[in-house]
Formats: sequence, structure tokens, C-alpha cells
Amino acid sequence: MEQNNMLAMILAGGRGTRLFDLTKKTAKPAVYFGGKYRIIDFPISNCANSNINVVGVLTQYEPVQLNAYAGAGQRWGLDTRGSGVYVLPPSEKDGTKFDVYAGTADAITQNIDFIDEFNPEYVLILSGDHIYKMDYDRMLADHKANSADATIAVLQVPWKEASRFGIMAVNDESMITEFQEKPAEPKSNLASMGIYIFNWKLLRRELLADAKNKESSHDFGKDIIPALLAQDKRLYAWQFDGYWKDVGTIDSLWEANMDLLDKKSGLDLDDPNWKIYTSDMPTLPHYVGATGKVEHCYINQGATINGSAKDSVLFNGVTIDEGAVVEQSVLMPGVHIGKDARVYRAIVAEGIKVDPEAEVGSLSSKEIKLVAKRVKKGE
Amino acid sequence: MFNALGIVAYNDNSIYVEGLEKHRPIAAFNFLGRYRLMDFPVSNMANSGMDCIDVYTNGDPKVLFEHVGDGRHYNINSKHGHVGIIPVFTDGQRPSTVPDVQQYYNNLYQIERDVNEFVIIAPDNYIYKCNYADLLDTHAASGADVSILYQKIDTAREEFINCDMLEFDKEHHVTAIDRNRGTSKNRNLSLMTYVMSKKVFVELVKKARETSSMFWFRDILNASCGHMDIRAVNYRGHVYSIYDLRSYFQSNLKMLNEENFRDFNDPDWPIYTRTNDSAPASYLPGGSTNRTFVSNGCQIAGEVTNSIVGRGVTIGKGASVDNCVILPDAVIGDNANLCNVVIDKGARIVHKKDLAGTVDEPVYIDRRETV
Repeated sequence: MEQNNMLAMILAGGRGTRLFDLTKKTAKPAVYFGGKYRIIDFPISNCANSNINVVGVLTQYEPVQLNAYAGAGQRWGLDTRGSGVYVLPPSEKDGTKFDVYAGTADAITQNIDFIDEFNPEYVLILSGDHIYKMDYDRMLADHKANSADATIAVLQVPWKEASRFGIMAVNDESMITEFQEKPAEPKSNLASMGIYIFNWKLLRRELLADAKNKESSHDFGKDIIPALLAQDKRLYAWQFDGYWKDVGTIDSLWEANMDLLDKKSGLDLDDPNWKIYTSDMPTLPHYVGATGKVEHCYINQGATINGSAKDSVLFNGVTIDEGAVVEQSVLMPGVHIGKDARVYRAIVAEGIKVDPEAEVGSLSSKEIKLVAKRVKKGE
Repeated sequence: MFNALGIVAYNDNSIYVEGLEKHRPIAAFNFLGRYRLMDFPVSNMANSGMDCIDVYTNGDPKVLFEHVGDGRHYNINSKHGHVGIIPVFTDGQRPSTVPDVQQYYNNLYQIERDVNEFVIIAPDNYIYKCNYADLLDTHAASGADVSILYQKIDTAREEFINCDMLEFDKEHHVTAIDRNRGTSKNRNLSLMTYVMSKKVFVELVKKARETSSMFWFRDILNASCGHMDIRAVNYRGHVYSIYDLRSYFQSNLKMLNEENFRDFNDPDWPIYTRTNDSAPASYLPGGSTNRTFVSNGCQIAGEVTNSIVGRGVTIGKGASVDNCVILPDAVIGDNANLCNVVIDKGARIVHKKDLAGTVDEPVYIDRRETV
């Protein structure tokens, strides 16, 4: 397929501290989602489906698992000539000290040499911690049609929540007139999704200038975008109206999983023309045994259900033993729920065992329980 | 890694699976929801450490080529080893009548050039779990020229009609290979799994071609029984054989017993297949399953019991499905009632249709047919 001359850089360095134990040993983009996937499968699959051939994944926190995962571009079909998924941790270079990425913009600045190697006309900046399906090729088409210097994907948010986001004020042609970071009095309800297309030559120049600025926090939202606006560059807002969710907390991760159970949520992973790719497991289809009961669930292959599961998302290799009850929960790969155990409104982390007759979570609880260690009976 | 070339072989015309075989070779039959039959012998070979595997076929190879691709999903290093499809190419002769031996003979140059010292042949229509490395050890220790896996059966009068049976003496020296005509109850079913050195294999292929252009590999083995050391080796595990529609149907449903599917649910002995990147299965309101395998990409709004459901199948609201084998992408309409039915790929059962076969005579719904 013909390349669209756009290279994607995914900012995957987030620590994801609000996911607690789920990100203790793994970076946030590698966290499991939706019975089968990891969060980063979404932006990378979007790239693969949007005709983008080269994807850089910028990692820094707990990158081993993420590196091993993202490095195998074959998963997303990104292993043909001229394409690839490249894992880019902070690295020591001549004349700079070995350091972490100081900000989102700095992460790109430190990889200017990498981008230059491919000599792209456009660079797409993405974050690695959102669940959504987006055709970046269409966004690029509008970017070109507008003769834009930069295009920022935006989402309409409720006015009362607008002050929590980076807000774009636009004119009638969707040209950005002002950027407000978490404004007390928002001028619009178009929130930045942290998805940017830049003309590479311009961005490159701006990044180098920003790197020299001692006052800068080297962040796209706080520094680069305002600087471009100050120079009267042509910045456009590109409105996205599909499903989009930041899964940065246990509650939002749980909610996004539950959205898969609701056909009206807008999150449909069954579209044959926009599949989300991930690693395949050599396991049997899921099996519901003679004592098993399943109601309103989203179940991946490799699960064995002899107990009861309701309103839940079950990953590969999950086992629910006879008499056990699982409700409104997300069971990550390899979770084992013992005989007659109860699991309510919980996210159970990979490989965790809930002992027979043990109980965790509650149907009346507002909060979602994160289960990251073995649950014993009577605990 | 041990040094045997793997061959997945096809059957002659005495084995024919009504309906299904019209559309694809047996090796490509869907099995247990997400697999094709060839995945089972190839996974045995790959798990045993074999990395040069050829799947021979006399049917339409199109789906097999797509399925195998570069073979990477069989956990085989595609640089060092290979999984290949070898279809029949003939000048006028009907491909389905081309004996396996003729194909081996046509590929003898490649087979002789292959670095492996041994050859292991397994059929595409028998499913079982076997470590061929152990089998090769048994073969080598016995000093036999050829070893053949077999299993004792006591249902030969009703089942396994036309399948190969072994006659052998007390020392397990095979004296004859013949076809089951259903005349006696107790027989020794040949698993058509043969182990021999490549030298013996090449000799047999050449001898077969010299003897008759109609000879299959089983025929030359049978003809060699008197003057070669051909040994029967007992296989102790479960065997699932597919030789007609009934056995296809019943073999699938046997997998619903936990004891039976355990063989293929072993993390140390996985069954490999090509992924379709479908999303997990969705249970919609009103959807439920019991004693059932459900593949990814399914949308279930009806009730399914005792069944195997392939990838991307839709079960409509109020539908009831019992004892059925549903191949990928089939659509079962709202309120349909199905019992003992094999539904081929992409078939559509529209609203409120009742279809019922029996365990011994399942109803077959043709590929992409609308009922």
C-alpha cells in the first residue's frame, strides 16, 4: 500500500500511577483491556489501519514488557519493507546527558534523528493510553486541505467539565484562535485529545527552539501549541465524534471494559474493516461447562466457565470453577476463581487466584475493587 | 529438534465426507470452532520439534495456502524450517484421483535433498495428541523398517467403514493392511501414521511407482508386509477420526467432554492455528450457552447447548441450538430451533425455522445456503 508520508510517534511513557498495582510492573500502555487486548493495541492498530507504516513507541517507565510487546511489529502487520514499530527509550547521545524524557515535546526532540531517518512530511503525535478507533488518514486529508501547519484532534465535552481539559477556541473554519489549559472560564467545549499532526519541518524547528528555552516544560499542550499560536501559524481543530476514553483510573478502565457489553456505547471491536490487532494465543475457544452459566458477558478464547458469570469481561485463560459467581467484573488473563467464590465489581489482575469460598468486592459498592494479590477464604 | 521430515497426507476416494468435502479438502475442515483439521497433525509435529513439514493435498488448496501463510503461527522458525502446502498439479488427470505416492514421487528431488534422516507421515483426518520424538525413539529401538500407529477398536462393525485396519502377529509384525468392511467387531484401526527412515521411504515410493500407477502408500506398505519389518505400535490415547459426516459431527461433539478436550488444552502442547483477529465473543441480553465451545467474534442472543460454535457466528434472539456444529460466519435467525445440525460456513437460517436431525444422521446445511 502506498505510504501517506506520515510517521507516528506514540507517547507511551506514562506511569499510570492511578492504576496502582496494575502498573506496578508494567507501563500503562501495556495494561490489558477488553478481554484480549492491551491499551497500546488501539493506537498501533489505528496506525496500521490508517496506512501509517512507521510507528515509534516512546517508553520510559517499566519498559521491558512494553518493549518486548511493541517491538514485534508483525502483530499489527507492520513488518513489511519500509514499515516497522520502533521502541524508543530515552538514550544517551553525544553532548547530552543520559536522562529521562523531560516532557512530551522533549520525548520527540530526543528522537529527531530517528524521525529524520525516514524523512516524513508529517508527524502524528499520539498518546498510548486511550481507547478509541480513529482514521488518522482522514485527519491528514483535512490537514492538507486546510494547508494547516498543525491539526489537533478535539472532542466535544460537556461545558461543565470543560475546565478540566485543554480547550481549543476556534473560528468558523475550525481554525484555532486560542488554547486554554484547564481554563476557569472556557471559551469553547472542544477538548484536545492529545492527538496532533504537524508538518515535520516546522515541528522540528520549534522543538529545537523549545529545547533551548530554560523556562519551558517541554510539553506539547503547555509550550509547543501556545508558541505556534503566538507565531500566527495555521492550527486547525479536527473534531472526532466516535468513542474515546482515557483509561487512567481503575474506575475508568472498568467502565471502558463495561462499554464493550453495551452495543450502544459506540465501542464496537467487531468491524471487519477496522480490526484491533493483538497477539494471538494458542488456546481453545472459550468453554462453558455443564454447570456454567453466562449472562451478558464479553469472553475471549481460552476461558473455561463452570461457575456463573454475569455482566463481565473475561480474558484468555480465565477459569471460573463450579459454584463461583462473578458479576460486573473484569478478569484479566489466567485469573482463577475457585469453587463457590464470589467476585463482585472488581478488576482482577493477571494470574491472580481467588480461593474457593473467598469473597471480594460488593454489588452495592460504588467503587471498583482492584484485586492484585491472592484472595483467601475469610479475608 | 530431531531430524524427521513431516508429511501430512490425504486420503483416497474411499473416504468422503458428504457436503463439507464439496467445498474444501479434509485438511481444511473446520474443527472445534477455530481450527482446521491440518492444525492438529502440524501442531503435533511442531511440538515434537519437527520444523520441516509438508501438507499434501489433492483438493482445492486455496484456503490452505491462506491458512498456512509463512507458517510462523505454527511456532516454526520460517527461516530455518518451513510449513508448505503441496497441491496436485496434473495434466488432465482428475486431482482427486492422484495417489499420494504419485505426489511423493513428483517431489522426490526435494524430499531427498531435505537434510532430515527420517520421515513421519500423519493423515489429515485423524486427531490425536502424540509426541513424535518418543514415537521415533520407539521405532529406532525396535529395529523395524516401518512403524505404524494403531488402536484397538470394538465398534468396527458399525464405525470406521472403509478405514484402514491392521493385521499383525504376536510380535506386532504387520501382516496385512486392509479396509474395514464392517464384518467383525474387534479390529485394529490403523492411524495411518507411519515412521521410517528417509531411505526406506524413498525405496517404497519408487517401488510403488514401478508396481502400479494406482498404488497408494498404504498399498505398497501392504504389499511389502511379507518382506519388510513393518511393526504396529499401540497408541493409548484418544483418537478422533473424520471419515464421513457422522464421524465429523460426533468427533466435534466429543470435544465437549472435559476429559477429551484436555488433550488439546495443554499449554505445553498447544494447537496452533492462524488468527483471524476477531474480538472476543459477545453475550447479548438473552444469550446463554451450556456445555458449549464458543469462538471469538460470535454474537449470542439465543440459547446454545451441547454445541461447537465457530468464529463470527450470530445466534439470534429466542433461537435454540442444541447438539449442533456451527461453522464460522453462519447466522442463526431469531427463534430458530436447531437440533443435531451441521451448519456449513456462512449459511443463514432465517426466522423461526425448525431443523432436526439425529445423533447418527445430522442434518447438513450447505455453505452459504439460506434456509
